[in-house]
Amino acid sequence: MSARVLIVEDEFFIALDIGQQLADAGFEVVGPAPSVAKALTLVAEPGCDVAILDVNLGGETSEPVAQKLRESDKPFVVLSGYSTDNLLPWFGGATVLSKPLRIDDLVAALRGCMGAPPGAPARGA
Amino acid sequence: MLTGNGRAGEGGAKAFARGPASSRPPPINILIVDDEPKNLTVLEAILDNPEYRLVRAESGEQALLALLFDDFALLILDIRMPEMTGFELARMARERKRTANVPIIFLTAYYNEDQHVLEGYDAGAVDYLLKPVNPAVLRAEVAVFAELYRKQRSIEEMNRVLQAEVISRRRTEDRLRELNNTLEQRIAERTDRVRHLLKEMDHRSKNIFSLVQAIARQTAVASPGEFATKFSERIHTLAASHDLVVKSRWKGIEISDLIRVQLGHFVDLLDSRIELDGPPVRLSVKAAQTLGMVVHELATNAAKYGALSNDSGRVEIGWRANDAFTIGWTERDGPHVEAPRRHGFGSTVVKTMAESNLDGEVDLDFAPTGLRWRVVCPSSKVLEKSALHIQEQDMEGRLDG
Repeated sequence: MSARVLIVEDEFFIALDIGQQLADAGFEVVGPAPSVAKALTLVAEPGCDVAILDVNLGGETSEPVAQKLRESDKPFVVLSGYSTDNLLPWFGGATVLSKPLRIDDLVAALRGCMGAPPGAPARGA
Repeated sequence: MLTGNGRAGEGGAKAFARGPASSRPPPINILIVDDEPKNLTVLEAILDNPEYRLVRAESGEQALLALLFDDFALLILDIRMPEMTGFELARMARERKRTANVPIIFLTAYYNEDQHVLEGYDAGAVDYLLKPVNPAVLRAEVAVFAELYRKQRSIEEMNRVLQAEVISRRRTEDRLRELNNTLEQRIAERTDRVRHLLKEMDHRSKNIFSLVQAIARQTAVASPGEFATKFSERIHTLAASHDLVVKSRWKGIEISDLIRVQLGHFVDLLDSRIELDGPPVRLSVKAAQTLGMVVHELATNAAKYGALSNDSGRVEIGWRANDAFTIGWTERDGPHVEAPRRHGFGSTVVKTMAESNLDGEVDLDFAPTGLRWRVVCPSSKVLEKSALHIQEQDMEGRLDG
């Protein structure tokens, strides 16, 4: 069974593009969610194994989503458009990728945070 | 009873204020007291001088009254007077703060009898002359006191001016300090604002790189044959919206400006075949980017298949902003419309992207008489919060969160 990855990103085409590439890499895509509210709904149902959080969702940040994921023990990767804020407290130990991203880096980061060896096929936890 | 005119107290101050340019200082006041009017007249004759203003008093009471009204440089008192003697008058004058230091010249015809009292006074501020008065001696004596009075006045006035100067300088310093603080605060605020803007620019450019990357891949998949042309047009669309963002100094993009820019060369058809109808609305950066892409795709489609592909078709673009924001694109009099068989990049832009980015609902209708597109979304998703500082506060919240 494929790992389910939740994409939280407010820019439609970026989310669409990441989603398509992750699907090609063998993930099952949940979302994308353009807002905190939508993301929290998707974390609850259908749920996910791992998530990608864009820091800035046009007026709000993904912090509440990060908290929710941490409570449910789901790892996440942070996607940031800022060059200088690569270490906000709520990121915790999450891998931070800077935009624009390379899909290989993203896939490696997702697999890494799920505890799988970098080269392993995408499998659910 | 009292003679003379003008107020001596103000005279001295004014003389100083006018400075050396003034031709003559105002006269100084001298109170002459004697119960015998003839004696007063004699004194007036001796001291007849434009520099003096003589005030007559024929009793101690009149003298006290005069002392209430004017400032005097000198008192010339007859000692032997009925009711109140010159000594009693002098004692009362000494007890009053205002007149305590006014010099006194006593006039006495009985020196031997008055001597012990006269010696009781402090030397300097008091002198005495024997009657009958020697005019030359009296004039000399009065001249000394008058000069003393003027010098005192002049020093007092100088002090007053200096003090005023000190106060004025202190005020100026305070004001300067205040201005300086305000200036520093404004510089700090501006620096903050610039820092925030730079950060926001950084964020926006990173996002645009990502968006360009995504659009490149989507265009390559949807139109592999026309990739170069289509991709270039779409990047141009993003750049045009970005130009407006910069021109607006990040304070919101006027919707009609955005539409004009995105219509490209069709802007020539404005007010003839393309009609804009809506109030002034300032769009947020993201809304402008999204609506810019939508208008570009709709215009491209209209040029290829719709109302802008023949000579008679018309397009109406109308918008309203209340709690909800609505914008519609309606085509008429174009060629007969058929719904496309497959959904390409353009329909993704005008439908799915618009709905996602604006948190709205899109109605896309390929009616045979002309394409109709409309989006309804919350105004908060579209409108720029008019004041820049509000936007910055938001940004701060986002960054610190």
